[in-house]
Amino acid sequence: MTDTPLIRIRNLSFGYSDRLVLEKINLDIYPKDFILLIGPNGGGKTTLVKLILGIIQPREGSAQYEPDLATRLGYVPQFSNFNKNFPVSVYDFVLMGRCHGHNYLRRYRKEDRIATDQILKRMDLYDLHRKGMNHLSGGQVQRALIARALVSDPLVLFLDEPTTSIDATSQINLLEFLESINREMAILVITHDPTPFASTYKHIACLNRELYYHSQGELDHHTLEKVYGCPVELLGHGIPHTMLHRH
Amino acid sequence: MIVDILQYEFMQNALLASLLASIVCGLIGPFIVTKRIVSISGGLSHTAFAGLGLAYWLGFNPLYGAALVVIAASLFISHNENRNIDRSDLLIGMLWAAGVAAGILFISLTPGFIPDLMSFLFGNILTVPDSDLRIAFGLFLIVFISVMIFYKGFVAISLDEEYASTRHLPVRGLKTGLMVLIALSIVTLIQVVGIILVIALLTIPVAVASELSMKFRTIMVLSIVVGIVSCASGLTFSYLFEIPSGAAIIMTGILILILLKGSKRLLRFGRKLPG
Repeated sequence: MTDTPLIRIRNLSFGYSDRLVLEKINLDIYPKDFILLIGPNGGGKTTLVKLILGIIQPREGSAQYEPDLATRLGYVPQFSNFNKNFPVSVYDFVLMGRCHGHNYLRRYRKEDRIATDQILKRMDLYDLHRKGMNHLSGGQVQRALIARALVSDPLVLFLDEPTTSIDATSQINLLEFLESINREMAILVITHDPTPFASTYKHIACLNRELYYHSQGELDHHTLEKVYGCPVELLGHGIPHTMLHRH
Repeated sequence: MIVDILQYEFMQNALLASLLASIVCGLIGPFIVTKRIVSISGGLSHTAFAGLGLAYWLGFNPLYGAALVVIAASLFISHNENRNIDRSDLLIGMLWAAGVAAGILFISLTPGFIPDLMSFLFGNILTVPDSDLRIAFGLFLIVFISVMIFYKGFVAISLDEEYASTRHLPVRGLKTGLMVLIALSIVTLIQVVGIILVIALLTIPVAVASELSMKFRTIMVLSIVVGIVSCASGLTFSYLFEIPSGAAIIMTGILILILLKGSKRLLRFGRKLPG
């Protein structure tokens, strides 16, 4: 980790009129990092990612990155965020990942279509590319969401709760896939259940208004208690199981 | 018979107006239906009433009055949307009522001449003057060119607004732009089928097209075709049976939808039968 960080988050705060959701967050995201962002519901996990991506604006502080990185941040939201009422094929849905503020006024180019074909094949979606998005299964929708994020050739990939709505087999496939693409890009995963990622992650960030950042192996019971406000399950590092502590 | 109909100049104007309206419907309607903002469009179309009344009272072209008020209302709605005030339902109800009430007030204040209110509500396509046709053509050009230029952006914000903002698309600008285009389309359509039937002409062709295709672009093209067919046959029925033209156009569209849905169901039922 001697590289310079891709994204520097400095003193980032966000809140609604009377309530601070995030307070003075500091976090660096390095190339090829694998960060787990955990914390209780309402702890501000999704808000932090939305701030980094520029979907919402901070009250104070900033998330800084080189201007050309702006086109290379991939985002995989939770399922429910796109308009399922909109008639769109898997191909067009993924192709839209190539659309950007600089190019949305011109037509798609050949390289956009080549990139889309490649990513569809890689995500095992090519046979479905003519199908409507509203005719896919949960796991297929998620692969399409990941394909849309990857088609822009990102340097950092953000995934919001990627394991919640898929079955066990899909989950294992997803983990293996994330591990393989982690050789090319940094990954930040929001999750309320860090267990499946126990052998994959490099850093863990616990967020409950404030952020506590740890390298793999550092996370202790005390910090988790502080974040969640009560004793919780502890991660078994290197072991793909959770060790339960007596309450 | 068709030649008979076409020899009247008012019929030529009516067909031209309905052609323009059908293209505008087909371009804008699919966005309205997929974004589920049919009720916003309904509210907007009724604010046109206030503009028409205002124009009569102050003595200028009613179409300009309608355009002015509907565009102002559309900007007001997008402003509220952008401030994340989720009271759009309430807002639409009030715009709807206030639009009609203001229209009636303005018209009652107009001394002497009392225009036929029914013609605003149900359209006066058979009496579209050349001047209105020219304005409608101008509006149609604006809508057509804008949709051609901003198609990718409009699709992106209709499909996934949040993702569009992560890709640094000007989401607010596109949303406001689309709303203003809806407003312009409504103004164009008011001359053709009247305020009440505007929503129907924006939605029925899309409903028919959605039965036939699952591709947004194809739905757009089919909506235009269905719009033209409903308008042309509706006008013919209205001439033959001496029935109101706006209502005839809409009921033709509804008939096409029912026939299509019915035949699809029969086809499915037929496949299930043994042998």
